[in-house]
Amino acid sequence: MEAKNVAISILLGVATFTVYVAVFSYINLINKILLGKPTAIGLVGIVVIVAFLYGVTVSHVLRLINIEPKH
Amino acid sequence: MLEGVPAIANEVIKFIDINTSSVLVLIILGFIGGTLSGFLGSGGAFILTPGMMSLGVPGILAVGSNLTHKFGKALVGARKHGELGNIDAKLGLSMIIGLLSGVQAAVYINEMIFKSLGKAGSDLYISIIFVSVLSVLALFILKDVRKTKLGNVKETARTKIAERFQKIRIPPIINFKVANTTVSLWVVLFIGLATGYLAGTIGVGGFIGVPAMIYMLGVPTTIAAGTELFLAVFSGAFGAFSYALNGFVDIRLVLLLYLGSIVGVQVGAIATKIVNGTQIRLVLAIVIGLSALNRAIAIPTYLSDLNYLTINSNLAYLLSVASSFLLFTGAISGVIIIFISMKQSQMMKYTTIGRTLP
Repeated sequence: MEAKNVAISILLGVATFTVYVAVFSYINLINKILLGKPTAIGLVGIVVIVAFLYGVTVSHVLRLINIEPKH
Repeated sequence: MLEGVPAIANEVIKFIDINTSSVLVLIILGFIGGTLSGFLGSGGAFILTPGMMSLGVPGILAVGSNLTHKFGKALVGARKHGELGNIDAKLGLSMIIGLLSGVQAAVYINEMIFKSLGKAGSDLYISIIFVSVLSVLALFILKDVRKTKLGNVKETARTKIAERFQKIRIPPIINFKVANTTVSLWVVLFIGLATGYLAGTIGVGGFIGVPAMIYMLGVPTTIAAGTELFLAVFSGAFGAFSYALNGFVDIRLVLLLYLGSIVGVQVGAIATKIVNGTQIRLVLAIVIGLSALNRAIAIPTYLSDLNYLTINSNLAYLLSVASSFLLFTGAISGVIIIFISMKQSQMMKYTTIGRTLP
């Protein structure tokens, strides 16, 4: 169980890091694409992906060190 | 200039240089905001928006980015509250029309002021709303803390106010099972409108939404907090989308704030188990009061930029340093108080265990 949690945390951490690097490397292109009615929704999509990836990663890491809040 | 981008957006799109120090400050700001947010059960916008403005981010961009940041965080929080049964979805859905209208009106006014008066005018408008709302809140919370210390808490006050609002019998009258209240839809829509307007203007919506649900509708505190988070998902998504249409969201800011805030939220949530309620409210009042002062001190500079007032550059610099110092000192002190209270509670726990052991 511990090993599984470690593996999940590492995987999520790598995925979060990749999204961060991609956003910061292509910020001008992303800003250009996001402006305008049909594509502004892409911004919301990026936020959902990052919030979930990073949020779940932090939860997993806290569970590994036994300090995840229960509420 | 970016091609194919609205002119207003181009003016603010390169608002702040992302270098090592700004990255660190934004992550620390996110952590402080997140810790206070997890500890106090609020969105943390009362510290994040003024914090970003103190770093030189235009107010409208700080609000837009903060709404986007809040949306992702609310999504994670609402899921947890949903699992605990703290959300009255019927109440939330009834408030949505008012809420989204409020957000839309706020975005429209903010963008209109930015177009006509520029950055200084927009920052002035946002700061005035901040000072008004946060000062009233800080005083209200301090009064509440004082009453609690004196043992003079009137629990019946909230039910009396709620009863008055429940007497408004303008149809349609709706019964909300989870929130255990029956009230006119118009009262619900009004609360939604006020919450949405403040969320869209300064990014702080829950401060009006939660007390209004508790005092005006008679909703239990946990259901009010859960339902507000549920609503924050919609106000955040809609506000983020509306501001993004004209380029008033910087995704880099959002992601840097997340780096600190998501860890901070968990730390703050752990602290609530250890620190007592009066201390929580005291920290809240101090931080909110200093945030209000931060914005109040910045107002003369905005008035000077708009040529309504003449202040020399030395005084402007001094005011800017003083306002940043107050905000960050207040926020860091709040976090330190939380950690000290946690440490003291832990030590008291160990002392008690030691005494009871044979």
